[in-house]
Amino acid sequence: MKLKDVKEQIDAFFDTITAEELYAISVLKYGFSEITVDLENVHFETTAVSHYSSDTPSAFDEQHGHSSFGLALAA
Amino acid sequence: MNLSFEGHHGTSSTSAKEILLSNYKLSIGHQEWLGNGVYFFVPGISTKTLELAEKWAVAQAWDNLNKVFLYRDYCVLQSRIEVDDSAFLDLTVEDGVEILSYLVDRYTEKINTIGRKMMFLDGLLLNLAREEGILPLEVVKGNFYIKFARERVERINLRINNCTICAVFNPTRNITSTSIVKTGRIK
Repeated sequence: MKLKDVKEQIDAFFDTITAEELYAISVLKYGFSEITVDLENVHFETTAVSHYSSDTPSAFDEQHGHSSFGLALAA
Repeated sequence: MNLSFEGHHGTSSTSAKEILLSNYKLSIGHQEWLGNGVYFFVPGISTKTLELAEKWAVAQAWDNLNKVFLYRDYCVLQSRIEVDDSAFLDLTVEDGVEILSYLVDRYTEKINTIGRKMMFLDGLLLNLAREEGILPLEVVKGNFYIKFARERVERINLRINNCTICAVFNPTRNITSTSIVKTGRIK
């Protein structure tokens, strides 16, 4: 099986199903779990974890784009 | 069916006899590596598939919660697996991984539009792909690190794969012969 043989089928499925329907069957029919922990707001006081302050651009925050990725790496 | 290979399946003697009488039953659950299916050790990273199946049968005999053996007599079954290339997803090669990656991309792209983030398990995604008719999956193959008795007792947790397994979703269609090739007893 190669991608070129099945790409059309994969696209047809995801182009047709709504996000809400996909979420519903994922959880109810197939047993997917949702990631519910919000890493941006986790309290780290009880652990020995150092972290960026909330106003530091995060390397993993997609909203900051590639430029902040470079900044975070350089910091 | 243009692909044909042998696989080994380790289980209790009681289950082996039932399989010979009425065919395999699917393993079902979220912890199944490649989704719901009948699992076999197949040639790949290791060619010692009979030995791996035997080690699996021994490892699975131990009920760690109640500290007892669930069975002591075990068997290794050898089965002939036949499948068309168009229904075979080989995740040990680039072509197969490319398909899985594309599936993940399209899935996350869609689910992210409503702000949801899902925890991925290969097996669940493969179940969804097969049962929703996204992919015509009959047999899937992949490399995994599986813990047998020694690895469990000595807490050996490597990341490097130690075997190749395949899951067959429709044993009636894709398994053409089965026989017992080894028996043993756990002392």
